[in-house]
Amino acid sequence: MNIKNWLCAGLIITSFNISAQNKKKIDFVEYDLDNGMHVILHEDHSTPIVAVTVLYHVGSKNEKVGRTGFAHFFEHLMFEGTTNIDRHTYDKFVEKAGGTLNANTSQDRTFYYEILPSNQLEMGLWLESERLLHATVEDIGIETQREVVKEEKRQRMDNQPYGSWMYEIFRRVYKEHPYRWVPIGSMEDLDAAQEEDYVNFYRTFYVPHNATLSIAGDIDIEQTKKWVEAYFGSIPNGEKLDVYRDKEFLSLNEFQKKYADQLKGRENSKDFIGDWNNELPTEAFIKKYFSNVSTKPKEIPRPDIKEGLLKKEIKDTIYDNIQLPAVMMAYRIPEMKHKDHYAVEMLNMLLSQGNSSRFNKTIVEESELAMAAFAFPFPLEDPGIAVVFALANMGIDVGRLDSAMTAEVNKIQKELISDEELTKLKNMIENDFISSNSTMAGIAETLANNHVYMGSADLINTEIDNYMAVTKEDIKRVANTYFINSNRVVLHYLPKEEASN
Amino acid sequence: MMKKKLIIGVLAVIVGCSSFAQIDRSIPPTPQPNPEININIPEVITLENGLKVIVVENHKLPKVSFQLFVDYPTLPKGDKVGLTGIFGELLASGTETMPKDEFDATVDYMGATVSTNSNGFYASSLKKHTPKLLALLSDLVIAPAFPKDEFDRILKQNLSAIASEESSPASMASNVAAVVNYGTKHPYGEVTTESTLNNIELEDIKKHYSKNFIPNKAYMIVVGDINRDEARELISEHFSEWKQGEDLQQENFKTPTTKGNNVYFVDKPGAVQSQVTITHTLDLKPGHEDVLKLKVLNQILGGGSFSARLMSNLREDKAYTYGCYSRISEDELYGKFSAGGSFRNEVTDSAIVEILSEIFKISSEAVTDKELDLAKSSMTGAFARSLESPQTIARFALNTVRYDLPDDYYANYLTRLEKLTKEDLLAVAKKYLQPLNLNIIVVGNAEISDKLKNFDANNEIKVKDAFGRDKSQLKQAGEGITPTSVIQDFIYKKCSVSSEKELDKFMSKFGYIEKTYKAEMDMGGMTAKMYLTTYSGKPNKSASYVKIEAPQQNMVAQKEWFDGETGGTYVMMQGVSKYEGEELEEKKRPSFPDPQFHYASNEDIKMELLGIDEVDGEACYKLKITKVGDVDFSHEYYSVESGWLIKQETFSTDEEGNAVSTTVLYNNYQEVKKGFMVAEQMTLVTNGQKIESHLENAVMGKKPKSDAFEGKF
Repeated sequence: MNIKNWLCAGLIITSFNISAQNKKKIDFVEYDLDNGMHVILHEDHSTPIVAVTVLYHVGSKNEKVGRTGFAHFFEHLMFEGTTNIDRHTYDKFVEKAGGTLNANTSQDRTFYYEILPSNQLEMGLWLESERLLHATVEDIGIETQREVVKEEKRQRMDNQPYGSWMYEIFRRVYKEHPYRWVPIGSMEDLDAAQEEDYVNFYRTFYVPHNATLSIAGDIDIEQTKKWVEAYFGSIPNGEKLDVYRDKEFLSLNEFQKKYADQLKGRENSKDFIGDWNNELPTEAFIKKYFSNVSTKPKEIPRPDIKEGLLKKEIKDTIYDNIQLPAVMMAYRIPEMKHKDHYAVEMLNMLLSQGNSSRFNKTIVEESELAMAAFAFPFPLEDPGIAVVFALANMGIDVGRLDSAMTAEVNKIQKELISDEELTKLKNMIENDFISSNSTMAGIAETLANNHVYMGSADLINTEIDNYMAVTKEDIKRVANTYFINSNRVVLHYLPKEEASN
Repeated sequence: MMKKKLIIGVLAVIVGCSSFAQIDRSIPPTPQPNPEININIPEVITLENGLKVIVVENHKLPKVSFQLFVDYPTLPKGDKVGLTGIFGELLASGTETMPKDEFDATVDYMGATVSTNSNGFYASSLKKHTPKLLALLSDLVIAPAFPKDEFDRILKQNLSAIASEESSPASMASNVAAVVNYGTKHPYGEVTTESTLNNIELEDIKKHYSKNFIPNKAYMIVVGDINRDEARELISEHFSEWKQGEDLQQENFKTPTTKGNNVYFVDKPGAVQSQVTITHTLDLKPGHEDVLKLKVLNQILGGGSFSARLMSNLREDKAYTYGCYSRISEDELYGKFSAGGSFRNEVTDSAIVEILSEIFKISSEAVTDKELDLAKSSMTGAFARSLESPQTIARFALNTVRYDLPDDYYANYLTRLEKLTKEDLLAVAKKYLQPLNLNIIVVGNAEISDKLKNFDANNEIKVKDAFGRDKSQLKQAGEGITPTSVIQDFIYKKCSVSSEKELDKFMSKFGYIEKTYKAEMDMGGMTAKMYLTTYSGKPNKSASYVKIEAPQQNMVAQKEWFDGETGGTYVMMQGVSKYEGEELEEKKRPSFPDPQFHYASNEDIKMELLGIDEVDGEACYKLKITKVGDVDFSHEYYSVESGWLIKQETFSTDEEGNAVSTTVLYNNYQEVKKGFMVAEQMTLVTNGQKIESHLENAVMGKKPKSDAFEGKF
């Protein structure tokens, strides 16, 4: 062993020790409400703010063929209002409280959040519980948001150079799995949505046991628990939730018809009609007429399509309104929860994180084939992809760029990375790990993600150990398992129309 | 060190006990008492060489960041625009003692980040690496390497990046806004182009560095797990050798004043949305008492929230867009106002109408109490949230010293905000906003440009290129030139006649023509030959045949035929389809010998003379040919000098709704027989491919007879 190796070994050991010391534990409590909703609370008083987030475990992969883009469209509609919140006022409550709100939809989840001054925590809980219990969707809102979503698609995808990349990659990487379409979906499908689609989607996926409430910030845990119980614990589940929503959204006539079998004539009684017309509160109404209705959570349908690795390389050319050609490669990688996930991520870091990364040194700086080159995993709940992307320098042939990128990937398959590189990757991870979780919103989101996707919110504290356990051999092995030509889609982006002169 | 404590003074409501499990959902909850906000603006430490150090302690995570900001004057770069950007990138290229590769490896090995820019750097690492990181950073500042090979590489990359701006609507709009708002003599009105980049030399970068990169103009901002004394010691240890330079002063520059509304248009072929930017400059310096009033005004007009007027009108009410915002920015030199968003083609003009009316309304009528309250509470909250990041305090400290703000400027922020009235807002709106003197910049599809004229005070559109330069607009065609006259000249020329009578005579003896063009294509090292044969017979018979001869196999790629009554097409891999319905009726119209011969007699064809354009330097009449009821159209370019058709562009839409265009270039017209002229060279450009073909064979006859019309080839 030469001196350099000794030094490296020494550094590896020190960095291990120090990372263990420096780990600032994120404390949290988690529990389930009786209706099945999962709650995670993190207390931190450094800034007087609080992040209130709700993660619904529904994304574009839960959509039906012919209704692609529905989950995201639905997210837009979830700002329209509720039984107690008039249209166009949901966001005003937050603003008035000095907070901010938004949401996003991925393949796997829909995530809503409010960041508020900490004295407005209850406001956040009220708003989110209203959304879960009885959100209202009116025709005018549907029509407006449909157009807004289409504009979003035009702006982000159609009118942006390379904006179609996700769409073009995913539709080739997957043949069966609903990941083959992207969350924004298609305009035709958005137009095709029917009233029953809204009702079914809400009832299937916007139910307590499909939601995770994650709160982080300047809170008092005990007080927060009480409020959570009051706002969310009071929300029924199962049949009872359906009846609750029907009571609020159906007309008397519709309701009588729908529940005639169950009420056996009682629905036509003076008493019943009187209660309805006198607006007996829904809770009391259900207690009186539906005392035996089930509160058992209904099973949530999830896609169970398993697609293995690709068997044959797929190559294609995309003509877009761009000036610089680009090469994009997508490899199929295992699901987020798979143990290889960490080695896959480190392989991507090796290729493109930092100026000393392999792509930057060879493709960007030495051969000057690319203006920029990236590698990043796109892990998903079901098997996802890792993307390798490079933007060609002016006048560079994409074929050459393609070969250079492939050569760098192949090199990892053939040669173990050096000890020094492995230490570098681990030091970077240590830095990233400590730097992450610097905001309350980020902590709330990570806790929720870890709970839903990985089955353990505590990974926020322990995940670094999984990275530190990765060996050079692991990286070589995942390169040979997933980063092989037969397991990828290669797209060459070329300018649409060369000028005629 | 100053210490200020304050309470969010807005709506200090005392709330009763609200911890009961029973709640009334129909009423929104009332807030708890307002939390306390602490702002500790640190004092600035000045080192001997003039370097000012700002330390913000935050011991939450074992991390420290260093930001160097050298506040040198902003000056015009003339024919070398882009110089400061290149300098900023090149700064990261190693030091006199450590080449770039080693520098990069050392930084990455610590898991640290270092990024440089034209005014300094931002770097961060775990606390344990801080001394080593600072040693690297001080070398970077005091003895940068500026290697020639890296300079060349970065320049090349920037040239590529410049090329890609032509496909980004946002870059195009911001380039045009810079030019029209500030004028090309102002440093903010300068736009980087290929030629300005090519004028930059390594020597320019070195000069820029030695003149401007001096400690007496610099701030070092240290944030994180480090205390003040420790930071002062470390910084003076590593940066005291950085030598002072001659003091530099910022110059002032004139900005043009906009008179009336001016419309600027940038063509982005195939765009499905228009990027609209409505803007003007305003004289607003940081720290001025009007800044906060204008921020509140902007919050109501088009700040980030859904309830701002622009968002609520153009998105939530009309669904014209995904987002519509406005911005008012203060600046040491000269500030600006801008508003806009991306809108689908059909509603672009309506969107502009709405934005203009919102600008007009907010500068002529006071906002409502409700709006003002909402804006105040929203901005109070945003201010409180921003304090979560220690970088915010660092920014406050930097601004305080840089702009010479009162010590309690930020500590008093919420109090000043609370005191503002709607009269204050109306007064600043009237003072600063120019609803009748706006620059209206639209980047989009040329088809919408006509509708924009009405917004211009002089009813004209100024066409710009992606970099804000004037783009030559089509010149007006001369007196007496009409689409019909251009087409007629072309037909006469094709038949070598000079009157209607001569043409009739010529056509009476001419009933059939067959032409074959040959192209050679490179298919992965092998050469393939393609033959395109077209047949045309009087009055409406036609056929075509495309054959490909490759070394391995020959194939028929496409066939078309029509005998005057029936016909069809054959496409490789797709098979045969017969002409039916409208398509069949269309085919029955006269077509011999070229479509142009029948433009005038076909009432469904609309011809429009757009003006004079250039094709490879040759002046041409540009005609737009549309068919009634069809969205597809074509442009035909006829040489002003010779009268020949030299270029034809066809625009259509594919099944997925994408714009597809095909271009055919014609060249070198030659006589076939009896004066009938045909282009010897025909070049097809589509999907980025260019196929050049030459006339191989041409046959003319009197009788319209060929088996091809029956589909037999």
